[in-house]
Parts: sequence; C-alpha cells; structure tokens
Amino acid sequence: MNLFSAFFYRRLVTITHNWVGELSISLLLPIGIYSTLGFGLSNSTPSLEYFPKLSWLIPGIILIISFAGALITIFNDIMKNKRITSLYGTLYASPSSLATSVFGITSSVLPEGIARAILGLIILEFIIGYAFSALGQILFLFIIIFSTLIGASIGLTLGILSKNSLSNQLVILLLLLGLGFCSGWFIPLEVFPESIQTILRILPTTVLGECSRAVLFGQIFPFSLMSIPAGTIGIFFLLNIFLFPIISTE
Amino acid sequence: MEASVSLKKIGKVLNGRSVLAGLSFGIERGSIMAIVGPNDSGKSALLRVISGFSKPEYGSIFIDGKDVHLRRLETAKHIGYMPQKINFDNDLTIFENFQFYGKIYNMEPKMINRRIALLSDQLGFRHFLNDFPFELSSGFQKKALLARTLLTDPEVLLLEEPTSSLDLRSQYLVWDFLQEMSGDKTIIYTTHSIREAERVHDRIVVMHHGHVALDGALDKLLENSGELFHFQIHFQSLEKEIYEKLSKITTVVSPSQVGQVFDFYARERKVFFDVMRLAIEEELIGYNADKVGLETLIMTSTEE
Repeated sequence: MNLFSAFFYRRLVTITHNWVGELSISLLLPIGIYSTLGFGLSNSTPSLEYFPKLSWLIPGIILIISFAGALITIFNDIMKNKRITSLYGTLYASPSSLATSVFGITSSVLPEGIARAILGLIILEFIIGYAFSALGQILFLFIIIFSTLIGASIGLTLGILSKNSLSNQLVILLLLLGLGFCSGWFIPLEVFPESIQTILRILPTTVLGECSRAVLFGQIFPFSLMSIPAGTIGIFFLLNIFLFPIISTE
Repeated sequence: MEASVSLKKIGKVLNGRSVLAGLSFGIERGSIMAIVGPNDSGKSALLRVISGFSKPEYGSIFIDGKDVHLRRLETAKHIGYMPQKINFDNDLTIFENFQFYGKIYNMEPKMINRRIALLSDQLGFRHFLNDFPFELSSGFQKKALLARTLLTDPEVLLLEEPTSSLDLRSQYLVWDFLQEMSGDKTIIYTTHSIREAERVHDRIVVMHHGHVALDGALDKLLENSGELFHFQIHFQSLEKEIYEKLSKITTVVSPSQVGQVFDFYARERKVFFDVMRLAIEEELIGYNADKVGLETLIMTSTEE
C-alpha cells in the first residue's frame, strides 16, 4: 500500500497546486458533454418509463469522465516522466516489486475518479431535476471503480509503448470517441448492425455501461458479466507488469 | 575489511557498444571511492548498474553478499543513488518531492519530516523547501538532490558528480558532511574534478572504455608510476625531423607533438637534459617539468 499512498499523495498535491483548473474541468465537463450529447443525440436516446428522457445519457457521461480522466492522467504522467526525470527508474531502484509499482500507479487515480463521478452525478441530477435511488448511486460508484481502473491501465500501457506524445494523443482521442459510441455509452447498441452488436456487447466498456443503467434504472442484468471488465483489469495488470521495465530500467 | 559492494564480471552493452567490459572488484564497507575518467568511459553506467537503475548484460553485483538483481527488494533499501541529472518532479515542491520519495521507501511520515528537517538544515536549503525545483538555482537543486538521496539513510551511496554546479564553499560543505558519514557508509562517486578526487578518496578508480585502467589509493598509484616525470618543451617551430630525432631517444616515454610543443615522459630527470642537448640549436620559447600527478596518470592511462 506504500506505493498507492505515495502516488495518491503525488496526485493529491498536484491537484491542489492546480485546483482551479482541476475543479473547472470537473464542473464543466459533465455539463459540456451533457449539452453536446443532449442536443445532438436526443432523438436516438431511448425513452425510459418513470425517468426523464435524457437521464439515459447520464451513466455513459459519468463513465467516460472517469475512464478518460484516468487514462489521460496516467498517459500524460508517463510520457512526461519516463525519460525526462527518470522518475520510474527511481521507483524501480526502490524496494518495490513490479506488481506493487503497477498497482500503485494505476490505483492512485481511483479516488479522483470517484470524486469526479460523484460531482458529475450531482451536477447532472440537478440539471435533469431527478435524483436516482441512493442504492443505485452507491452501486454505480462500484462500477466507476472498474471504469477508472481500466482507463488507468490502458493509459499506462499506451504511455509505456508510446514514443511520441502528440501522435498518441490523437490515438487516445479516437479511442475515447470510439469506445464512447461503440460501448453504447452515448447511443444505444441497437443502432449498429446485429452482427457487430454481438461483438460490441462483450466489450468490457459495454458491460460497464449496461450494468450502470441496470443499477440506476432498476433493470435486470446478469451481474456475472462483470467478470469481463474484472478480467480485463487483470490482463492489463499482468501486461503492465511485463512492460513496466521498459520505462524503468536501461 | 569486509567488502560492502562486490562486482563480478559486470558487463553492460548500450546501443551495441560495450560500456562496461567484465568489471570485477570489491569496495570496502565505510570507504570512499572516487571514479574518474574521460567522458563515455563507463563511470555513470557503473553507478547505474550498481544502483539497479540499469541491468547488466552479464555478471553479478552483491551488496552485503546479496545479489542486487536477484534480491532487489532486499538490497534496494540499502542503496541511495544520486543521478547526475536533476530528476525532481517539477509539479511538486521540494518538500513534497521528499515526502513522495520517503513514501516510496515506506518511511514513517514522522521519520520523513525529521530527516527533511535535519538534512535541509545541514545542507543549508531549509528556506527553499516550499519552492518548486525549477525555481531554485542548480546549486541548491543539487544539494536538495543529495539530501533526497540521504533521506532513507542508505548504507551505500552512489553519487554522480555530487558537487558539479556547486560553488567552492558548498563543495566543502558537502564533502565535510559526507566525510563525517563515511565511517558508516560506503560512498562511491564519479567526478571530473581531479582536485576533488585527490582530496576525497580512500581509493581512486580510473576508467577507460568500460575497463578499469588504474585502481588504488593516490599514493600507491603515484608510487607505482615509478617516479614518472612529465616534460613539455615549447619550440618556436617544431619541425618533423626534430620531433622524430627527439622521439628516438630511448629514455623518452610516450612522446607526442601538441602544436609546437614536444610533450614526453621520462623515468629520470636527466632525460630532460639529453633532450635539451639535442634541441639546443633550435629556438626555444620555454619548457615545463612536473612530477607526475593524478591528472597526468589519468591522461597517460586513458590514452587512445
């Protein structure tokens, strides 16, 4: 846990030094995404009985905020520090195993991911004028943990493998947009041809989206499917342990 | 004395080039070793390999008898490595950088604070603890970097040019401070300052092309050089035939021409007079005669 504590401390003081920017993004991002999607996609958004129409978009918006927030934070940090400050070399030379190093880095963004999700949820509930059940919101925060960890793990993998920060930022942007749409976070999967739907339904991000809607809107969902995102986190964890020496040793 | 750090046939290849070529030696506990040598001789590579920052292609390194790469988690806490390049996180203040580093090494918060207060006082940068690294001069950054290395109170200190970019007073402050600790700690440092290496060492290692060219205490090294003398004779014009004539004197060692200067070594002083006798008809500007010091030893032992 010492590395989680070290990296969490580092994130916390970094956020504290840039609190104006961090807070502005946390407040404006949900409003910005909601406004854009609400105006653009209101016709393709499914209607829900007992719930405001655009509430269907809320789980997807919160998921993309936590997922993208973790991915971009870790990716930028790796790109900035892997060669310039040899920070990760310091980590490798410390009495820390590769597993605890990878765990420490990826999990350090978890608290801020949850905090952003809570803030986003409150703002969006205020905008639509409807509050989800307390139990649904608590369960949803557990799903946010999965989303943040997957984002952080992908950010770490991309950061380790990337040579050029600028060209990879474009890849990240396309990845986020692609995942947002192909995981049914912004539009229902039914708009895709059936053959593609079958593949998209087993994406870990799709499972997170479906599960989020199930807990917030009280729908039935086979929770055993959560083993897909859990397995994805596990696979990325092992992959990152394997890749980590690339940025930490010569 | 017992060896604190032992190297067995350490080899390191970087970009297809051998930077460490099968080095083997031991470093006694509590001693100070100065590593000198020209650029690219493998000084930094050696420290990086011992610290665990860099993996050797072959060979083993032992700290207190434990293999650094096989038992990394056990040995890492005993090693403090200070890189040549300042590697603070510029998004954190100096104090926060120390906190982060201490947490990585699983130190108690109280202990971290106590060590920060102690080290910043001793090295004279307490007033800058709440500044960001980029706001400090390179000298203060260097002192803070040394303090960060010492934060965990490591047994083995690996310091890359610890006093470069420090003013003279700070250099003395740092070395007085480090020498006070040297009984408890093994200090291995690299430097380009010959004066520093001469002043602070129990042992000097001269490296060249990844090999150890010379190894020992300064007195021993000079003694082994067998009373070597270094001469330079400055001619108005040093023609090729004069140079060749002088070079052929059998007692002249390692002759070379540097511009209009005939540069050579000799085992005895009288060789200088033999050379002068042959050169007497030429127009001379001046001459220089020195007993060989560390600088000359390094120059001769690292000649291409």
